[in-house]
Amino acid sequence: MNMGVITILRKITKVFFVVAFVLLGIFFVSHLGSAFDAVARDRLQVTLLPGASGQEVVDRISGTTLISEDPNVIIGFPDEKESEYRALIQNDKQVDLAFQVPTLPRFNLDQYITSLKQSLDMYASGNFGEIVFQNGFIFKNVPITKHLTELMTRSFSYLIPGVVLGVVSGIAIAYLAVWLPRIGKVLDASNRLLMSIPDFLMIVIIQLIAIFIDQKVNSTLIVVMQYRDQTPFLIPMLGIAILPSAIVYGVLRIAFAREWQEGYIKTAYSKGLSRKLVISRHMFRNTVEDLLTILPRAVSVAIASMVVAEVMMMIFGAGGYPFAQSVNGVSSLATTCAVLAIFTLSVNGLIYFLRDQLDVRKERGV
Amino acid sequence: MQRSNPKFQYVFAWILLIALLFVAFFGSYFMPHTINESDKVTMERMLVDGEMKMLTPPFPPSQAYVLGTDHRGYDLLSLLLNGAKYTLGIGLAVTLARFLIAIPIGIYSGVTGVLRGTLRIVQIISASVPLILILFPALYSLSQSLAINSGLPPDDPRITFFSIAMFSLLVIAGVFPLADQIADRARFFYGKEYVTVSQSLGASTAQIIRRHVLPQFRPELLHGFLTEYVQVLFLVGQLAVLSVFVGGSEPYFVDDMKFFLISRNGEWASMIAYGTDYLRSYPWIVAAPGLFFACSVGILSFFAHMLQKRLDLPSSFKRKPVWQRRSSLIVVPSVSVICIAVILFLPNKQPAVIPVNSVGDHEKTNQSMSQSSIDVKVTGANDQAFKSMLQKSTEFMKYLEEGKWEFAKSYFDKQESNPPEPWRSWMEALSTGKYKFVRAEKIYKNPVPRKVANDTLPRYDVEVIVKSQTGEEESWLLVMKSSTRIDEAVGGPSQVVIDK
Repeated sequence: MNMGVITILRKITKVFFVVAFVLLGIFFVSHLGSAFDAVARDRLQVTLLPGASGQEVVDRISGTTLISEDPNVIIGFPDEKESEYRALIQNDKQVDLAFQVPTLPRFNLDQYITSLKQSLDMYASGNFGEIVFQNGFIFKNVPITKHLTELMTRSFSYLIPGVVLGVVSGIAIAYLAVWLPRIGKVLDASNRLLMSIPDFLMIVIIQLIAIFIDQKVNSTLIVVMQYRDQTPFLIPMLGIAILPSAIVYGVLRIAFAREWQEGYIKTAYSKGLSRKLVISRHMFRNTVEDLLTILPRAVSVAIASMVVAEVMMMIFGAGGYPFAQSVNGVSSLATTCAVLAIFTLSVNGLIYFLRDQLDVRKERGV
Repeated sequence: MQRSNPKFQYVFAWILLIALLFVAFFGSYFMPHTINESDKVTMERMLVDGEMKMLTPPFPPSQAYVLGTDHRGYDLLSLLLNGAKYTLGIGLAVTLARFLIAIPIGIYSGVTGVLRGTLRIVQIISASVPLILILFPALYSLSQSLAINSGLPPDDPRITFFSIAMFSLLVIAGVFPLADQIADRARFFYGKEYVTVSQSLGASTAQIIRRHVLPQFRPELLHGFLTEYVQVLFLVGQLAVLSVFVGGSEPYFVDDMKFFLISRNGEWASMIAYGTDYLRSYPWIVAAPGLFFACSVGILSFFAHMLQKRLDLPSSFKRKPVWQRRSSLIVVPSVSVICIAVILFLPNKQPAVIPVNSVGDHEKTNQSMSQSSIDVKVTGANDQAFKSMLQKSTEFMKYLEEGKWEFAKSYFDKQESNPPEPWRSWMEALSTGKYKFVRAEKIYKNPVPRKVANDTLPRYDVEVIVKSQTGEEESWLLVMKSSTRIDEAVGGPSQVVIDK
């Protein structure tokens, strides 16, 4: 078989394995909670209505035993009929509330495997998890598939501009720093400072500035938190853009410094090219590979920042929806994380392809 | 010494690092206020615009509370000084564990080539997506199954278990990329000519690692360690924003059922996460931990940068060992004396952890381990409601006994001027002395709940004991739809309640 075809097949296999491992990893770890049994399966703690005693309840439900009466009433039953007895106890006319009794967490492989199988069956039937909405005392389970498009559209509406802004501004500032070395020193120090500030703190700072501006102009110019239909755009976009920008800047600065030592730069200078031309015609082209190498990391960082920004601003987006207003809990985190992972991998794949196509050294070799 | 002098900057970086470690270890000795259960404030008299007013926390920064307080009235400075060891400690422990595992694996793999492919594949997989997409679902699922965010007592074993699980996941998530990096560097050093010479002279792999590879690594390790430490702190902070943090939290109830979680120990990242929700109304809550976090990361990054600059100078490799330097002979004893003095002369204000139900007790007595704050709150609210139900039933029966329908009718939604049946018979029987109300002490769930919109709410039967003229006790039931509202009656004069 042609060597080129073999190479392509190898690459495809490699990509397939990476995608499969990432998705399987997310699937397995998202069920970790089921792997540990933290409650006793053979007893329930109950609170009784006034005038009742634990013994009365036990006498009414055959097969149960009174484990403890004071300070807490604990009723025991055979663990193999847990759900049946739980229903009987909860429905007893003198039992108010029934709580599961916590135990020392222990690993339960059977439970973990059962939970994985249940999820696979659910996925096969088109159920990819649910979002539990709460309105007062009313809870409503809604399939994630119903909201997935809305979540993704909202998240990508600031993720994609954020990544583009981060990368473009990183390149532009790095270019400026090389072109004007004095400003470059200031920019280097600022970049070091920026890299020391975590994304969540950066978002807080931007939010505080936004609140200050809003207060000054006495109107909601910049939306700081999601409220009804008002979804923040500027703050999550800036929050997403800052770290990728700093990363791209840092890598390009090192790459420019390396290229500056190369002989062809001196040759170009000796031929009378200006600094601006040397940078734009020679150095810029030769640092494209460095840029493409760091881009996957910048995208990863941007996605992590997006999740954090959404949670902090209570945005009903792909990363922050478990913490959005009126959401009580979710069982669909594996699905949304997998979708975000696929997006990251696709972008990485695209960058890898671009790198492959633009590899100057390879072309020379050919 | 000039400020721009690299040596001055390097010494300054060391001073800052020592100060940071000092705060992490001895922060609780410098807390201006204690942060125990008894220190919670519901209201405080404070001077506002020259006027004394009763205010509820959070209080803004003032002379008494330099950085302000949280919703519980805890002094933020004290909380953050106490929380330093948790934030910096978990980051340090995770980084240390990653290095302790990654160094032997990485060096061995780099030198011998064993596991090199596996390491590379795992590295590619773990680096291909943001760590948070893998860690978050794992920790969210664990926190749900262990009910971590329901306000468990700090000594609950589930909190300890969750902290261990979080620690392990953070270590595992970072150990392979680090091992791969170390393997790359080890391979680089192993390819040097002097190693080949050493090999040809008969040196074993272990000897080469010990004599040639490890000494080359040493200068890079501290810098790598600090960079990794900063990354771990970032990750810990991101997870805290996602409500996953160390040391447990306690719910702060806004009303009967609405609550939010606040860190018990003042861990910085969790304080930032809590503060962001109150950015507009109480900005100091997020500003204070944010400042502490940024300063700490800044100090670590500055130190790493200065170290890198120093390592770039070949002269730094030719210096005397640490224990032979004059500066070490001054700094180490001085710092030690200060530390001992702090321990001996300053009170440690770290909050006391009151064991609610220890594991030992649980095993001995078969009691529940401990109830979460939310369970306690729900149980307490229901207890109150049932007490009120009994009290209102007693009052109602007394009004009937006294023939005061104008008061008794207030227990109904529909307040009729004349008592309808069966209440007319009840009032007649009681007010004429045919029956005498004795007590109301038992409550049962009514089998028929009431429907409100799309929801069903429980109804309760309050058993009222009455005595007939013959001295016989009878049970009548008041069916109540809430703790204060009567819905209907079961039984009554000359009617026997068969099944309560």
